[in-house]
Amino acid sequence: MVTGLIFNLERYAVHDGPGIRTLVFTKGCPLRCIWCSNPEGQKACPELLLVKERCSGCGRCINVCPRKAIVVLSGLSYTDKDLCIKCGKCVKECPNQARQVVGTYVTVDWLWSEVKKDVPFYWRSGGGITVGGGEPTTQYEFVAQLLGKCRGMGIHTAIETCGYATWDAMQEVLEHTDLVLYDLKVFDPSIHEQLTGKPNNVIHGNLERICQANRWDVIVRIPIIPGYTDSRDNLVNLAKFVATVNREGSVKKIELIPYHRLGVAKYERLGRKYELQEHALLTEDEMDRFAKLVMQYAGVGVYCQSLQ
Amino acid sequence: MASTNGSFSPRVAKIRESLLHAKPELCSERAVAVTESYQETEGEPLFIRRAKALGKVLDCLPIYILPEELLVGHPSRVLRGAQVYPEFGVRWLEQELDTVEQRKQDPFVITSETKGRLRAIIPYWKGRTLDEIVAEAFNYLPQIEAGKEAGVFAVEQNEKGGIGTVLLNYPEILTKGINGVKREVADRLERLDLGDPEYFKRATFWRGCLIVCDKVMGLAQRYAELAQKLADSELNPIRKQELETISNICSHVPAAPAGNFHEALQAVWFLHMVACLETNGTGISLGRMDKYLLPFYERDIASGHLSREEALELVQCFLLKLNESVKFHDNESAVINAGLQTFQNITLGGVDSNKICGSALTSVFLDAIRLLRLPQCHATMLVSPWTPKDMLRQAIECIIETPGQPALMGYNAFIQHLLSSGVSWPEVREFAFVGCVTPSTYRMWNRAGAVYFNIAKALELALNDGVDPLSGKQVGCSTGSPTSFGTFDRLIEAFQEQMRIGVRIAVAASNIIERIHAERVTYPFLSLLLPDCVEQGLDVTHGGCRYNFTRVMGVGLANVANSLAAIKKLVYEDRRLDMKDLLEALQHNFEHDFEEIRRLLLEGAPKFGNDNDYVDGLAQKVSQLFFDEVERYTNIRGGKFLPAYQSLLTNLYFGWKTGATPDGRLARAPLADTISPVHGTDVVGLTGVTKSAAKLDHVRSDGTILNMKIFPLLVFGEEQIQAFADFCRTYLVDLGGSQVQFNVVSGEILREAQRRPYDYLDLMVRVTGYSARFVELCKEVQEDIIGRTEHQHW
Ligand code: SF4
Ligand code: SF4
Repeated sequence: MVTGLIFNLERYAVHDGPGIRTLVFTKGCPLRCIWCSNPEGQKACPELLLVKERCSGCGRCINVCPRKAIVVLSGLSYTDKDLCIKCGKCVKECPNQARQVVGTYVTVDWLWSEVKKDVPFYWRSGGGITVGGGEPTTQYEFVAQLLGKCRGMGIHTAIETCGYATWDAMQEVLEHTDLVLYDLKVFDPSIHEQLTGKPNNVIHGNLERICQANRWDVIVRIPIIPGYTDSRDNLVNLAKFVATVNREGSVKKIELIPYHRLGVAKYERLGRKYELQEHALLTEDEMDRFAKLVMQYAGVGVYCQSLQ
Repeated sequence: MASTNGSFSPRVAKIRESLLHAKPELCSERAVAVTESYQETEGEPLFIRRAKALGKVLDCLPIYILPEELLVGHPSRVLRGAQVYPEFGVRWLEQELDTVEQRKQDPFVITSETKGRLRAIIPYWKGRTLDEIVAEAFNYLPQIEAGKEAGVFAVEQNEKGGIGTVLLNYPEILTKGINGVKREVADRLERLDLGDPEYFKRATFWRGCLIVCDKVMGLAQRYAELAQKLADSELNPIRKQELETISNICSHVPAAPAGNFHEALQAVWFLHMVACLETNGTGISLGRMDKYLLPFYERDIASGHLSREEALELVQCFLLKLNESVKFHDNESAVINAGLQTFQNITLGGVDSNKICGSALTSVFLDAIRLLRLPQCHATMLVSPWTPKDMLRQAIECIIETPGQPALMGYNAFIQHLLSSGVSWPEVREFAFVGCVTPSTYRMWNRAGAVYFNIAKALELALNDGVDPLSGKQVGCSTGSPTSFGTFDRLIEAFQEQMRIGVRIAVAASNIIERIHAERVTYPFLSLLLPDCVEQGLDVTHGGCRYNFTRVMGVGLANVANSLAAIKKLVYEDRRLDMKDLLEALQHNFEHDFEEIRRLLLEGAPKFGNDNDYVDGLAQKVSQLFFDEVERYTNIRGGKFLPAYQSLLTNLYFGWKTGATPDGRLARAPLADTISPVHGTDVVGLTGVTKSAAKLDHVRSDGTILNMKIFPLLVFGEEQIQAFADFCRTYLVDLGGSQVQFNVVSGEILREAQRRPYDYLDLMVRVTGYSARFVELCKEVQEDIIGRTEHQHW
């Protein structure tokens, strides 16, 4: 049986597709968006995480580490990432829960046993499973099997994708998918590459093919990142692009996702730097304006997933 | 979402404002009147004395009408005044009179005159109160005191001021008028057979009823006259008209049948107020108001005499009245019943023939509750397979905004429970709730607040050979040292034995209380509103109702399930922990060297509330054992003892009396409430909690409360609200859950979570693309979220 690497499983999710859903977060993503709020979903391997506020510097983790990867300096523990093999021994030993390993290998059967627990709730609410991440198509075999299993049991299936994948991988997953949550960020290919690490031609091409096939419901999601994705030009161009590819009406709506800083702390815990400058939070009025603008050109309904 | 601003009429806003500013104050009118009456009636038959005492209270009750009121009648001389019920107990009153203003939980204002009057009556009551006589009787059975002291059980918590949890047949008075009922009683008295061996009992009972009928009508009459007098001198023509209407209404109801919606509400308020002056018990409930007021509402709307807005205003005036009643508890009970809660239940959305749920009035009541945002009434809403989507949705919006009202009740679970308890069809369809979660009918009195039982204590005793570790006293039976058990099953047997003996003593205590209660204090007015009592000529405490139950409420289920799971797995299966070491760790409250063991217990075994069959199965087992022990017994009225899960705040009280438990809980820390998971241990979310909860037997239980925390952001947005409604429906309809109530997380709770993160591990923050446990977020983000939460108008 194929195994997959996931970093979270969330029941009662109500923001990612219709009804009450179970969200599976796969680990590994080809993009590196500088505003990413789930940075622990980016690398395709387990990672060790340190919650600094909790570490008392007691040094207990040092003794159990088989690789001697840990040192304690002025009351705080540090881990040499190159030495660490993510064995999790220090996690168990730490009395303050300062250490965590993110990323677990699981089988489709195990995931199914979790997903099926909430069947009565899916059934009532029209919900189901959403696989996001991370980027689900990076583990297309595993995700395809999982979604196939769910769908075979009559459960609504959805993926959330950044769209950066070979068509083969994409197709394999889509084969078992009812709803596609498709992220678009920046229209200009070079700026896209600058901010996410990859150009957007593949992403746009895949969306076009999905729309052409007219087999799936699609919701396009655009994150509104002040100073990066919120320029008039960018939003208008993205809206126009959606309008052009959406000839068959596959795209049911566009959701605008306001930037939030909830992920900031995770960068530190992963020992990484958060590149995005601080910005004032978006107001409801601003979001409304963006929504109106996009609606004007996209020809489909636009909704703000508001924080308030 | 509708905001509360500007949605009240100025009248409602004003009354609400004065209620919010009124400080609870202790009043002496009732106590003085009852004392005088008792002194005058020394030697007369009990039923007559009780009727005369209530009569005197009503005669002496100060009356006044506030400038905005449409519904009149005040239970005391000040808004939020609390009357004193000396016949039930004065010992604590004497001790606490001087401290009641300063106490931490629920302080009361008291004037020096009131204090003087109350002091003056205390000597008369010495040795005559229920409290003292019960205490005297308990001396015959020292196990009772020992069990109470050790926190094995608590009795009489809800009856320190009289009985409650009763559903009174107000609708009957609305159609017959008190005069109608009075005629029936007089007729029965007339026809009473001289040869009836219970002639005297019945005759005095009915005579008492007749006295009370006259006095209640007398009170309404006094209000009619006062309103007329005020009208005569009123200069504002609109108010003059209102006062004249009020005067008319009060001269009419409750003596005669109610003629319209306004009259019906006034009549119900008079009756309810009198009931609350007769007994200070919690849970005197109003039943299905959206059903029995409907004919009046429809008639008035059809004839054009009433608009929906006017009805809404009247209902709000009524709910404001319910908030005038304040309950005065002694210091100890005040901690358990914090917040002056009186649990005056209104049941909405009940199911009638043709599967019709609720009525046009359901939405009026929900609107009124949502806008008022006050602690009373205690609203419950039935959710059945036929409940319309819109109705449930309106209830959900109400829950989010109030926050927390109404509680949602599973129709199917309760119908099955009542049927299996012997309540017959079709009467069972008329059921409504009393207090929090007790299903009742007009033919039933369930002594629902009788016994709280500490299930965790039973386990603690099993682990200590019957000795209470906190006091060192032998409280339970000797079941041997756990180190010699050898198998998990043997531990379960010991636990069961401790539970058996504990429940048995609690039952004895409960029956003693009931017996003495029936001999010393009876309730002519309550009985008058219970059809079986009137028919049989038998007081409610004497078994006048057809259905007579007594309830034993289990507390600490999740702690016991988690403890057993930890022992089973770590001691008997994985052998990672020695029973001897575990016992030692518990003795030392996990201090110093034993912290490791606590961690192992916390992390090494599954916890209830996560949809995990291993531990949920043990919860089922414990629950079944508890039910078995309770259901063995019969009360003095010939009814069964019923198990239930409801804790109020006894989980704190029992927690304080219970040592460290094998689920990792520290000594004296709170126990889990009702069937809710231990705080912070349910980490898979809302569906996991309800799945675990639904595995318990909700049909055998006489009400099973599930408390859940929800984060406001989770139910913000159209689709999210709908998903939440579907979630509730799944639990209550598809999974057979009996009740769920929500604590909508406030900024205040989040602050608390910052201070005590380990108690709030379960608090989820969910926004698009990101979800986390609140306590896992860094400080600045937490602050940000608190800001957002406080920003919303909940
Ligand atoms: S990570 Fe944990 S075990 Fe290691 S030094 Fe910090 S507190 Fe001690
Ligand atoms: S995960 Fe294992 S290898 Fe890595 S630091 Fe911890 S103990 Fe050492």
